[in-house]
Amino acid sequence: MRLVSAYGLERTRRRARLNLFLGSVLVIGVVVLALLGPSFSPYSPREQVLAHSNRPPDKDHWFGTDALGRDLFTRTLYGARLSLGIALAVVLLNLLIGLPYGALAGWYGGRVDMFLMGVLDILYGIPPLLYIIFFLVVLGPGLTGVFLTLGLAYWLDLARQVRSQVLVLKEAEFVLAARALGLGPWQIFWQELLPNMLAPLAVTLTFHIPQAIFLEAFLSYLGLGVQAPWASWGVLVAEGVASMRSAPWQLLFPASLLSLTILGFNLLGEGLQQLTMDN
Amino acid sequence: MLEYLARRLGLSLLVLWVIATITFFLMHSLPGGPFTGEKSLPEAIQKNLEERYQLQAPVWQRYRAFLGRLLRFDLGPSYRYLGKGVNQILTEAFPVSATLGVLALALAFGLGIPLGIQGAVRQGTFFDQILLVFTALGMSLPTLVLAPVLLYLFALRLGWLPPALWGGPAHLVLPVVSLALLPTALVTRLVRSSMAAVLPAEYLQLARAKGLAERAVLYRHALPNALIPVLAYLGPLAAGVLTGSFVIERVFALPGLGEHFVASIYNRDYGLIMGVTLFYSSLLVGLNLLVDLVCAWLHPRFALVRQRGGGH
Repeated sequence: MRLVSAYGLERTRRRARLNLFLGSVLVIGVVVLALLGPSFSPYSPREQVLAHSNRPPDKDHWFGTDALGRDLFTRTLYGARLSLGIALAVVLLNLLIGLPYGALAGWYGGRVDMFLMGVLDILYGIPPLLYIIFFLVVLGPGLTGVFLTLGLAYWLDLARQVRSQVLVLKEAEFVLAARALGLGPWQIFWQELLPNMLAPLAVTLTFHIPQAIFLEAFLSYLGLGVQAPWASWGVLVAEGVASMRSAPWQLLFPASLLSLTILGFNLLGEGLQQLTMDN
Repeated sequence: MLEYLARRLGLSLLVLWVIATITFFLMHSLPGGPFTGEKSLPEAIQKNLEERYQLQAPVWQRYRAFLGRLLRFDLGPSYRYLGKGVNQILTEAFPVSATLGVLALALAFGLGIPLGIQGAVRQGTFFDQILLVFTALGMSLPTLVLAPVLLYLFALRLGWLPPALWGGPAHLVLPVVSLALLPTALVTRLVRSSMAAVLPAEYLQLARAKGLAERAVLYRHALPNALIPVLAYLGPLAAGVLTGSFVIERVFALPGLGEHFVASIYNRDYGLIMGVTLFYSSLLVGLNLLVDLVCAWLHPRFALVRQRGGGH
């Protein structure tokens, strides 16, 4: 029996390493493309050359051009900057709300915990998507709106996770020792609690990124997200769908890059998860 | 148990009330109204309309009237589709969305459960590896990418299936498949991992020692326990299918509820906004409640932990 489980463990580790490797290759690849790619491209993402409209991919335009003659390769890379940037900002905002919320509930316990978790339970019951769409219409569609609504909507699971970890950690001996030494809650949080929560937090945040990328694309597809002349992947996919009958490459390239990026983050998250569960 | 039931029911109703209230006041804080369009109406007509729909009353008075009607399950008139009640619009559009959603979830469980079980039983084999690769891909292909690609291939290129609109069963194939891929991948993964955790249990060895067929051991003894985490995930899964249905209904031009929701906000159709929001929310809240109760019934400890406000 022990032999079997040791074999299983080895297999999990191998899978974790493979996931981590493939995930990081994809993620690093896309990030490098997004950061450096545009500066090597001779085209601007917004310059319209109507004489070159709807060209299929060739050696001048690797991904072809769109209906207004803009180079799709350049647009896709700028779109990567936008989509990745928004996702990162959204995840940071999630963290900024979820971490203190969960930490307060877990650390103080009692009535504070009851109140904070009660509010959380109610918020959990509300389907976030309805509110996101609602607020976007109120705020007006656009970058800020997407960032704010997604950032304010998806911190709930983070808060729960932080709370349950703090609940466990605050009973740990090293935290009791720190308390006995007279450290305040603030110092204990930064020096003792946070470092011990980092690994599982990193896993959750890694899974949040593809979610945010996906949601941003979804909102932009509905016309509520990023507006022209800016173009995130969601906008590019929406434009591609509109013209897929006559110019399928306009859908194919942005859609592939979007899916590969989501795959990359998912693999990375899975690898990290397997690795942390191992320890 | 009874206390838990009462508590959960109370919480669900509270959630719905919070949603109704927030939506109501937010909606009335939006600039413009249902009868302000690009072409402004003559003043007298505008006034008549506002009187007819009681738009001049203070917000809190309308809120009270709205709650009163809501208790009788009457969602009031639509401000856009004149002469139609919100209830009527919902009953017209809901069957479309429900058919899509239920079929997609049925496909997800019908395929995901057997695949997941096989994956867990044959851990580490070639079959398992392939399964993991495909589910990873399935979880990374957004509906927004999959639906247009399927539409392009099977409707526009090959011409096997109709590209859009609501009609016979052939019209359902592409939308349901695009909607089902993500939940299928998720259910397969969940079943696989929870089955893998259950399989080494001693009671299964006992069942085998009693001479039960392997099929019966897996499906009758292992599966019920392995399904609990899957069940607990049904709420988020349904919410995901809902998100997907917004995209699907737009890509395939289906007359479902999703389009009504986005359009109603743009139209300031107060009645319809409230109707769709509350309808979707009750659906999801009700489903979550049902799942929690079933979980508590299968696993009494679950209820106890939730009741004490404990974490996972």
